[in-house]
Amino acid sequence: MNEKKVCFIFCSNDQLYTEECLYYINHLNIPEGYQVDALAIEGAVSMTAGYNEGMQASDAKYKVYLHQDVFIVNPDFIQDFIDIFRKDARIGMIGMIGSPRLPDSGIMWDDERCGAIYVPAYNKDPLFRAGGEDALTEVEAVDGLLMITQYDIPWREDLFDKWDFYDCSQSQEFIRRGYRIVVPWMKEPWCLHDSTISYMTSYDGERQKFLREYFETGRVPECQAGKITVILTTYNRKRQLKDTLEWLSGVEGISNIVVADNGSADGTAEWLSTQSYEYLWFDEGVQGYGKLWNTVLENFETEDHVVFMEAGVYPERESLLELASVLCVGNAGIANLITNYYGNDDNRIIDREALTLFARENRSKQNRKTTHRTLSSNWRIWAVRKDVFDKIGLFREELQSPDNVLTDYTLRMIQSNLWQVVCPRAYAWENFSRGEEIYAESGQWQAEDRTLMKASWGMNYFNLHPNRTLVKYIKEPSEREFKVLEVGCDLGATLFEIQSCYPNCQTYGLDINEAAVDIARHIAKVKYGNIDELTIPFEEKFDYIIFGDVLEHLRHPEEVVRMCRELLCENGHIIASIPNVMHISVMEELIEGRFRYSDVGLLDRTHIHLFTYYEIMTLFQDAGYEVKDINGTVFAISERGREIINILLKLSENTEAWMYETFQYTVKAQKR
Amino acid sequence: MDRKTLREQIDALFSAKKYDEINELLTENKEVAKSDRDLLKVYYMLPIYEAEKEAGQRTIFSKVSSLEDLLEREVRLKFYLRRIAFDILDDEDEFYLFCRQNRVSLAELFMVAYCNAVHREKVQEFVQRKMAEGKLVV
Repeated sequence: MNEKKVCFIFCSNDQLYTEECLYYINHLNIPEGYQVDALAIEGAVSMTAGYNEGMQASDAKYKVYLHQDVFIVNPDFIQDFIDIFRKDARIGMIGMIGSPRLPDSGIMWDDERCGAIYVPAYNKDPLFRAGGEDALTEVEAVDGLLMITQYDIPWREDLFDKWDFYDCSQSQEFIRRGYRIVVPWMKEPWCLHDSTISYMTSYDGERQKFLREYFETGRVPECQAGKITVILTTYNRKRQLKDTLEWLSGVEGISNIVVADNGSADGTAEWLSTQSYEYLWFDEGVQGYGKLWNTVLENFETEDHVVFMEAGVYPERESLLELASVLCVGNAGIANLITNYYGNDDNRIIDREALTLFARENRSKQNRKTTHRTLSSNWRIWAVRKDVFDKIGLFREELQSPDNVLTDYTLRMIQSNLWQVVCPRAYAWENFSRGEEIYAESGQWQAEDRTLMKASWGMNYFNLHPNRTLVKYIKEPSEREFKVLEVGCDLGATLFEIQSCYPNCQTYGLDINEAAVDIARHIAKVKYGNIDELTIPFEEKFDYIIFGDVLEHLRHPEEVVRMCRELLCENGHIIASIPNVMHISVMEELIEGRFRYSDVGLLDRTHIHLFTYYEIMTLFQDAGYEVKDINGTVFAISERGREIINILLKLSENTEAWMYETFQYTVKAQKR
Repeated sequence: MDRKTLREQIDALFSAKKYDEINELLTENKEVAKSDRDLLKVYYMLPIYEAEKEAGQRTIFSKVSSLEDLLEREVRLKFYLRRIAFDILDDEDEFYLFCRQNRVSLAELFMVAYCNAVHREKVQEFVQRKMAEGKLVV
């Protein structure tokens, strides 16, 4: 792919128009260092077929698909659209005319449009302009007169074999893949469309195909203020419930609140009976959350967006509207807010004041509808699009712990290609202490759920959290195209995170757990395989190979790392996290004569090889790599631990304090 | 009358050089003409025909041999005028030659500019200026 090349692609059946279209293209200013190419596709049997032919024939990163009767009159057209793409790698397509909300009919002009174009048409005003003056308007579809892309996504030649709805279809294909589509505000139109009459003989047939493919299988509902139902769960927290309800009266967008009292014995039900809220009291005692949430959904009317939350959580005034807004974009099914315990990666939110400040600052930086995709949601407050229930069904009723109910739902969503997002403009304060359990039954719920989850999904653990430390070792421009393989990718959470940060990255995964592969293959190109057998089922060369806590489980880590040299591109990297067997917690046990294996942690019983700093360096250097970076994760160390380290340092000539303090190393090694 | 029949009759009138009847037929069947991509263009040329006829000039229809020729002439002329509108007319002489060889009238120039060009006033001002300079002869 040529990153500095633009290709204009159009289907041609008229010599005069083809020459004129090219005349205008040839008059465009070309940004320095860029190449421009034009392909007139003759004899195409359909627009999709013609555009696919052009797309495959060109190695240009930027492709401009246009009609032969569209003439580009903005001399700086190329620089202008490149600037837009460069600002946000998630913008997949730009159009001149678009629909912020594609009407249910699928016909763009049935509803509000935005953009500008010259359409000289006899006795009418040649300037068509619609929409506001936002620099960029996010749209659900753009008019096919001109569509600019920075990523190649195949046109649906399999569905649209004529000359209509290829544009709405391609727009939906981009949205399905999580890309944004925008229409810029144009002081003067960038193009002229010399159109007169379209006969549209096959229009309605193609429209029906479009509706079947994109709308009948779960249309994203329109965002409307006031279309949010809050399901507020409480248990023996009457005072927090009152506070939360009072707080919610000032939160925008809420249409109705249903209070689910999970068998409180503190007079909550009696108080609720004197209030005007809709409520449900489980008088037979505490219920698991699968049953609790389903019962509410089955017994109460809900709006287009449903927010599940606990008493004691305080969303910022506009945050629920922000959630509803992001749930209208792409395949987002669940949306999360940033709280003091969720998405607060740099721990900046230490109190409510900090939350307010952080929210204000962040909102000014983030576009509306900007999201970050995730696989793990926060069960204490999260929002779901109502039609997700139509597609996936209700919650699994036997599951009890809310995090397991949500994990199970997440896995089902992944199988349906629906994603969860974090909305960086939505905030809430969770008035709980860290790790606080609301229910005495939590431990029992976890144990019982574990058995059910294993029976359903064939896995003991469900790791939906990406290893962000490893992802941070990938240092690439956000728009670059490159390939990453994760060995031991599990459910694909880290690959998912990489896709979010690098939309052009192709992600591959390998795992020995077939059940995990079945899920992860919805996220990336994931295959079953055991790298310890020194083969992998991929023929690609990778820019990065990731081993997140994997090498210590292998019988042949040296051979595997050596083999990876053949799988890496020139100058490719391995990124690995490896537990440190020399950590003070292990040394303390050894001093007492113990070396006890456990289910997880440094002495996980499945660890076959143990590593120290020196062993890690040797492993990579001997296999033909240069260690470019190595860092450690350090946790708080007890006073006794500190004393032991000081004694050990006196006995050793080759160790330093950090070698005992480091719990786990993260290493980035480059192929020599 | 349907589009196909109207088109066939217009073609026949061109061959027979019965230009007044083209005018009448299209005016009588205005709605059908406006629903056809090509006849719509011819319909909007009727004022040119009438203006030229009134001025005692050779008419636009008589300058072409067929409907196809007429449409191509209109396309080429509007392309020139658009290039003027967007300041990308590389070869002015080519435009003057086109006008001279095809005996383009002022009425035709202004009508095509009005119907098809953006920045109409700019195009009209260009035409008048070049006529005054003697470069454009219509």
